[in-house]
Amino acid sequence: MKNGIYHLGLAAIAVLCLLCIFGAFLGAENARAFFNSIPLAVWWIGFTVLLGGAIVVFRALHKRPMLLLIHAGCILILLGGLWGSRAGQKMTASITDKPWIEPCYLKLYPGRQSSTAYRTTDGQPLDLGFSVGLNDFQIHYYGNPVTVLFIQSDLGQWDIPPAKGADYLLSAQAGKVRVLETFSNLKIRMENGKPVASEGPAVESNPAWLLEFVSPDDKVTQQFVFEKFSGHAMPGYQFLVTPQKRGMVRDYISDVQVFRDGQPVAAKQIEVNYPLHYAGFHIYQDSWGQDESGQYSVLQVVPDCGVRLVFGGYFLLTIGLSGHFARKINSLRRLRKCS
Amino acid sequence: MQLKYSNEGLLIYAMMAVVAVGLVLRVIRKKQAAVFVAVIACLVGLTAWIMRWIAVEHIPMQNMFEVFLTLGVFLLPVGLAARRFTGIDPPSDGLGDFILTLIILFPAGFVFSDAPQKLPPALQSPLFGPHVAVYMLSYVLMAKAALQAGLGLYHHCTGCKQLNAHSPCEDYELSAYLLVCLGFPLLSLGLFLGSVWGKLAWGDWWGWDPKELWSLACWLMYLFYFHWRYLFRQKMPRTNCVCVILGLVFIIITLLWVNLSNVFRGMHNYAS
Repeated sequence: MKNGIYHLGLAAIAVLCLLCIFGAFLGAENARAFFNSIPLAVWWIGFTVLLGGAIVVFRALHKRPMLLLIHAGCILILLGGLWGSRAGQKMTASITDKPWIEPCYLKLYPGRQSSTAYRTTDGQPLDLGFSVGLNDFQIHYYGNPVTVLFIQSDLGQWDIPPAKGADYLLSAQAGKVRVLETFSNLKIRMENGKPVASEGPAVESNPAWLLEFVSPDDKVTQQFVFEKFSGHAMPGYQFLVTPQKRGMVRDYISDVQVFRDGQPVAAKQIEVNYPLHYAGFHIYQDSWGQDESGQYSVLQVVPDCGVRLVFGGYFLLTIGLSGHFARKINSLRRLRKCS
Repeated sequence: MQLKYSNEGLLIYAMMAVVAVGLVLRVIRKKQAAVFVAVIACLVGLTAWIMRWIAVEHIPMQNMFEVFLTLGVFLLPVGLAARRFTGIDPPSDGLGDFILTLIILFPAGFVFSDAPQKLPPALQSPLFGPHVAVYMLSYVLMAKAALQAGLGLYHHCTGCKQLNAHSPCEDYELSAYLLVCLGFPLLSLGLFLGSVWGKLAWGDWWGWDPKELWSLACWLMYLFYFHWRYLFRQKMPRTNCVCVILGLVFIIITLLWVNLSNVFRGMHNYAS
């Protein structure tokens, strides 16, 4: 019986090793699906039961606390993995009668808050049960980033430098563009019933550019572009122009507050590697973007099911492995010296 | 294949030359002189490593060039420490360290690009240094173990006919085992630190990424080896040795193939 279990365990390790190699050829997404499929779920449960059985059956393990810690650690990791899997979370939610919230994304503009997130798997909206507000969003660069004017239309996308002067040919269909004026602090006043643009007082700042587009049939249109109001559009504007900073990003930081029933319950400056933990969820800085409403931050919301078990398992394994192998090396050294 | 004329590149070539001298001294059994030369080689390598750190403003373990530079610079001192720690001092071991250092420094000097890179946000973590350093350390130990295992296999074919109580094959097998005993906790710690870091940076402690799966396959290979060896002890020394060598093969695949090939696309493809 004992021998049988040991051989079974040895075979199980070999099979798992081969499964990992097979999974490595699938790519991350397919491998995730493969290792979460029903036959593999049966395998994982069987593997955990086998390990548990081994701990009960093998008395030798009970006399060696370090080896016991190692095997118990492995069981914790497997249990944490089972609990944290999609199926495990779904089952937990149905047992505890709580809504099941899958990993999802929040798209937030500075100064706004939202309790609606979008599921990572299919983009379906779901209610978090709490709302997340973005106070501020900052991108830090290595060195000074270069500002470009990013031009979009149905005909294509282009970057042009924001300096006054030269003509740029966008394409044969889209025509040409030129930066007519640059303003560090644009103000508009009315003169004889016509709006006139000029520099305002130096205390404020309103960087802006005046662009002139010339279509292939020589139709001239002028467009204002504002750094602080990147979605600015007027009737007759054919291009969406947004000033963008280009450079190697050092960090991006969302200053976030969590509200439940209108009351603030948690707050943190979320950075990559430093998520916010609240009510069984980790909220991560995922990415950012820019559209006609301005710059936004994308946050990822992930339930923390099973994570403590897994990390607890790592802890037990680390202690067990160091203790066990330190003893092993010492005794082997002594054996060698004697012989 | 390209020559590097940067300060780090020239220092790598200098270190390779010094290591080659050490190797020759070791072969002609001038042991003391070889140790002295090894120390000089390490100092040259360490200078290159520190200069690289200052130039890129982060611990030089980000891309393939930096990883191989680190491995090459620290292999000799780690080898020495491992000899002290495990009590293994077969005549082959010091020789092996010189050869391994040359093999590892070669791609750093001639293959991988040394263009400096800034750290993207995900790599700016306090876990970056420990995760990579612990893995490097365990890889060096596993490489040394595989060398011992290889010698064990070789001597099994040639020298085990005389039925001594202590055949050289068994000796090598035991040396390999001791080194794996030393490397395995570090390999595990590297895996755990990586997983914790993955949770903090990417939101998941396990992402089924090809590199993650290969590193788990390595871990399981050694796990299999320990259970196999517990069952059969030294009755099948050749199989034990093959397990240790397979472990290193898996490590090389994890380290190189996954980063360089297009077969395994994933989040760890930082070297391309």
